[in-house]
Amino acid sequence: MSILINEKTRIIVQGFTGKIGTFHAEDMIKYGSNVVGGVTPGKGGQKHLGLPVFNTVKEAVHQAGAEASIIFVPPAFAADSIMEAADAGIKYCVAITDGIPTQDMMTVKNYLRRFPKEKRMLLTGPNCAGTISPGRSMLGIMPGHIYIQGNIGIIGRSGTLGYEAADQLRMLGIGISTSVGIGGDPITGSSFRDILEFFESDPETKIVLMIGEIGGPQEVDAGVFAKDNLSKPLISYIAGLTAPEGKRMGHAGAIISSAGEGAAEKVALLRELGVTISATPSDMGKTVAAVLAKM
Amino acid sequence: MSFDDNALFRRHKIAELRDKTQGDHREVAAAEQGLSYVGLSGDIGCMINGAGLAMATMDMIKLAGGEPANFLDVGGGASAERTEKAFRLVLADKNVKALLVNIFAGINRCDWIAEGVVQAIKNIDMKIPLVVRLSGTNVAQGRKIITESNLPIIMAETLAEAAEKVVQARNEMVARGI
Repeated sequence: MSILINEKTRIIVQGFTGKIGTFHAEDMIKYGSNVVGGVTPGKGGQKHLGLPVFNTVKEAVHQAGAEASIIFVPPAFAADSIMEAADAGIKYCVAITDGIPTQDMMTVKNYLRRFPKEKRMLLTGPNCAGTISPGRSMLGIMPGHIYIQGNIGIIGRSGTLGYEAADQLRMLGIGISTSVGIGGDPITGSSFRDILEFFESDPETKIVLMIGEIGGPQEVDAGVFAKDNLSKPLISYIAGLTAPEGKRMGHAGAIISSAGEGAAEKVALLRELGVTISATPSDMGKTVAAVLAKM
Repeated sequence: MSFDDNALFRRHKIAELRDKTQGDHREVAAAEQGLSYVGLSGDIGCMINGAGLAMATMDMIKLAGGEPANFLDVGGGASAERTEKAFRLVLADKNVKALLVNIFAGINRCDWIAEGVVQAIKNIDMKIPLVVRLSGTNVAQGRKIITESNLPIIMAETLAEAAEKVVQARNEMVARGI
């Protein structure tokens, strides 16, 4: 098992015929993901990469049985695309787009809340690298070959730092059940805590690695949740020890704006909650290996 | 009061109010070139792809005993031209005594980045030591291009090694009184 996606998951690409959408759709297909088509308004009825193009997500759901979607729509229109996917009955959506206005994301969050929980679309991102269940399905923009199949669950706010972790694990011969990018924006579809719940109920995942950074309270929230609800070891690295206060470090959400949001403070709080800390980014793989060896 | 940079495209009147003379001149220059840069007070320049990896690399520099001069995320599509712009930007800070390039090629390819780095150095006439760590897609080809260029580039394999080597190079510069 894996979480969120597997080899059967029927995927559509929103923003399918654009340059970036095309590039990554090809990559996902090559990886073996079950891509069943895509959506570009006004180009419905055409074929692209040998797959059907639809005008709306609703058509893609009805005609191609789409269950999951990945969004490569430009920032100004991305929120509409996410809400369209939710309305059409997509179960899981990954928003790759970087630069969506915060107020648009607030509209999206409120919109999603109107659905009863069992019918509510799960959203990860925006501003993320996507989700991969190695050897099964890739719903994202990551280099698939650095991930090997195994028992470690990864959740991260950063794309490249997640690659760094996957690569360190690969060098040690340790595989991954699923790696989920939740994105670097201040308002995202899912938090660390939300994804921890999925990993808790996945029998294949034995350890969870949480890669956090400065800004916001969500790493500590996840630590509090894990203390009482996660039966598996939680390991964490928090990036940004050198980050100054009040400066946005690349990610819109990576800014220390109040107490408890700095890397050192988060590390101290997580330690108190019983989370194993990888003190440096180059120790992420080794820390996982050490915890694994004790199990 | 704070405005959302991501929403300024809809609020031209607010965007026009920005007084660039009040910003850090390095950051203003970077923003004009579409690079994500934050100026800091140390003397080790950084050029990295991805915000999280950039923060992590700065952490490693600090742990190795150095101080980063900047945060710079060159993004996923680091072309030769973009690489050169980024080099010029980091080197415009006269405090910088050594430079670290750390790229994890995902969408990108290490051989393209290596070519960009080699080309940029030839055009810039760099006088400070450069440490390069490449990882990910086509890493062997990338390292080969750098080695065969015969430029004085210090190569590193891991994040920890890269940070140690750049701090060492910086210390040697300081010891020589540069």
